[in-house]
Amino acid sequence: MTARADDPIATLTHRMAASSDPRAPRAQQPRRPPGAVRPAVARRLRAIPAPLALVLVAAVVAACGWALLLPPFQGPDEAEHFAYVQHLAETGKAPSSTEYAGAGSHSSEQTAAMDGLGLRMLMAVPDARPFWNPVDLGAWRAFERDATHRQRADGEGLNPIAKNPPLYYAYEALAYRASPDRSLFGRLFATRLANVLLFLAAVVCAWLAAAELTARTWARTLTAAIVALQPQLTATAGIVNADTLLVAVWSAFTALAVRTLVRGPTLRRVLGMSVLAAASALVHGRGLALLPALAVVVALACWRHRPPLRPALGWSGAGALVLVAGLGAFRLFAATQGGTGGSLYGNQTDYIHQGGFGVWGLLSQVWQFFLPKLPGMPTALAPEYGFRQMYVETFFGAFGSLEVRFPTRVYDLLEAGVLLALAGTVAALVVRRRELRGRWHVVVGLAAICGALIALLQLVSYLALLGGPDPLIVGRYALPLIVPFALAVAFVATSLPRRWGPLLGGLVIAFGIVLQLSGLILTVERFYG
Amino acid sequence: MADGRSRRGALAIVLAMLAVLAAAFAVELLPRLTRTAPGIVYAPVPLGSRAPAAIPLEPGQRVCQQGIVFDDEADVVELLLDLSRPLVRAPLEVTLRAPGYAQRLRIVPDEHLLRLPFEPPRRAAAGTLCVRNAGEAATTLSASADPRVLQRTRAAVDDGAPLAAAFLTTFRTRDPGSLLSGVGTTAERAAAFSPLGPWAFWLLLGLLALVLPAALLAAYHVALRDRPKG
Repeated sequence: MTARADDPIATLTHRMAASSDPRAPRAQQPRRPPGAVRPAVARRLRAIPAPLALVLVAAVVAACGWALLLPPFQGPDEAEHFAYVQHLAETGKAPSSTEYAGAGSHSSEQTAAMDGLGLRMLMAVPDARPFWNPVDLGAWRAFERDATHRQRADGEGLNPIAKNPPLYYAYEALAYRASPDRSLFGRLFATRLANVLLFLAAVVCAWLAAAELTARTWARTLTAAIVALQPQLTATAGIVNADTLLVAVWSAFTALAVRTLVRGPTLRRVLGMSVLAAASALVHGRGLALLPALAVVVALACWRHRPPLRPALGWSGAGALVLVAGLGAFRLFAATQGGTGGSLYGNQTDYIHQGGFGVWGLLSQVWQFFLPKLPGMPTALAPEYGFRQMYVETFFGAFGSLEVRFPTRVYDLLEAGVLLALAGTVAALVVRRRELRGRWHVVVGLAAICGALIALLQLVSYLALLGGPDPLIVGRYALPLIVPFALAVAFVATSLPRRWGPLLGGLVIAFGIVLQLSGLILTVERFYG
Repeated sequence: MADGRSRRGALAIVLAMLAVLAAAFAVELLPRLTRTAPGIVYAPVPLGSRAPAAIPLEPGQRVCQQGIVFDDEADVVELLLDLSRPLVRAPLEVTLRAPGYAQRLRIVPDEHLLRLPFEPPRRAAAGTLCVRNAGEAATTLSASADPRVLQRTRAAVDDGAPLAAAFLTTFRTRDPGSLLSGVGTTAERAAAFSPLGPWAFWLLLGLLALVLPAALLAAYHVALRDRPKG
């Protein structure tokens, strides 16, 4: 059957007949065997490169390992994060971050599990163990059999996590409601698995970002594998914690930002980045750092690719509207919930008004965080906590309630590796400066993404230390930068002579496997040994 | 020719990765899997609890804690004398009582950490653990005033009012074995807090030990053999 070019109806009919369009005559539709995947989905699955698919398999195994092996509520603040999810899923409302009500921070059901099974006193006490004996388990199961909806829904506050925006908790509440196993641990496991999905998205985004920068499949694989094997990230992926959504959003933003910087801005790309920046702000207060990064990336892309002025202004306006709409929606939510006093982030941003702030003090504090003190500088506010504690120990591996740690020699090795990676990145940028001539804006854009988060974390930490001893900064907070970190390592590897680069990449992956398995073994020993 | 070199190169790198994995397994992972596990079975008032406290015991006084589970897996009970005071060698009588079960133990301390082996019950049972100062000098037990612990149990001296403290108590097994030899026990313990049974943990073991490294080695091998596009 052929179509005449000047007969649009015939052309459409011809195309329909030749396709699997359901409107096409039945006899011409290809038959699909029962249970077969739709052709479009099958095409998309086949399009996933084999190395990425295999890395994703490894990522699923690692994250599910943490989800299964870490006892309930033993992730950092996981009890409070889950309590928020439960209350939202059971009542449709967020708990209060300012007032005690109902059964308190956790529901009666959750409290019964935590106290009856020793899960509360387990936190950060290495010699404690969950109560796995038949007596305590039997008492818990008897309670759970008769637990009422009221006992699941009465965790009305005060929950300090409730000052967080609701995006992550709304997502997790869906998993909570969809759990086929209605026991408490079944619902918790479902929410942990939902978190694993976010982690997989971050791995995919790492691949996509690398794909914009290099045609070398091994370098893309290395980038994705670094994200998939990062022990702190996989451990966080296996618990209920908003940080994983923040990592997923920042990873997606990084991939889209790189694409925009390389290929140029379009309405879709600018809108996409704006949506992700709004989402970041709707996940956690720390997510606000993506807003200045967005501005820098869009400005760089426009400067480099020189799109026509009117469309560029239109895209920027559309992006700004998305941000305003997102923050406006959260403001509305906070006002209707009342639990945060109607303020954004429940006064988390009140640190700005902390007394004693000084620019020289801030600069000195940041300097001494990373480098030795110089003459004339005031002593740092928390001199025992700095680069190693944040970017090595708690960035790579501090599990459970941060009491499960690698041996010191492992941190020594990791610190050396991080410093080598930093030095290597700078050296590679210098050595390849001619090659990068047309791409410096990409480097600056990635640096802006990293700089924005690090600057916010350092500022908040300084302000917190002005009011108390807690530096309020931990390596997990830097995990949103995992994709730029992985890109930097891959960049260093691709800068080496031809045979050495892939070998370095392979050794990094092998080391990552060992680190991952080590972390899991240490955790099993701590909680069950 | 180029393809052959590329295949050999990719293979060489993957073999190097395997060598690193094997070395790391031998040096780092295997020792961890085969070293003696802590063997903690149940710790109603664990060492390292927050809000350290102390419970003094005059000669003849007895302090008890209720709601203590005597697990059939545990056959050593550990107590701790107050480390901030010199060692007092007053003999102590320790009794474990539950319905259908009783054990009376005696120890003369020769160090602050007291380890008392005992015969466990046939089945786990909840009961009372008591410590009596059978000597002529006062002694002091290390304790905790951690509210998380006190939710569970509190000490009471001579059947008096419950104190705002509980003495440190840990139950262990005399022969803990290693993580590797105790995989089955670990799977059962972990499964107690999971909607899935022990089978899931056996499956997980296989996935972590074999599938995770194999998937990554295969991914990198395929990637190394892939020619850059464009």
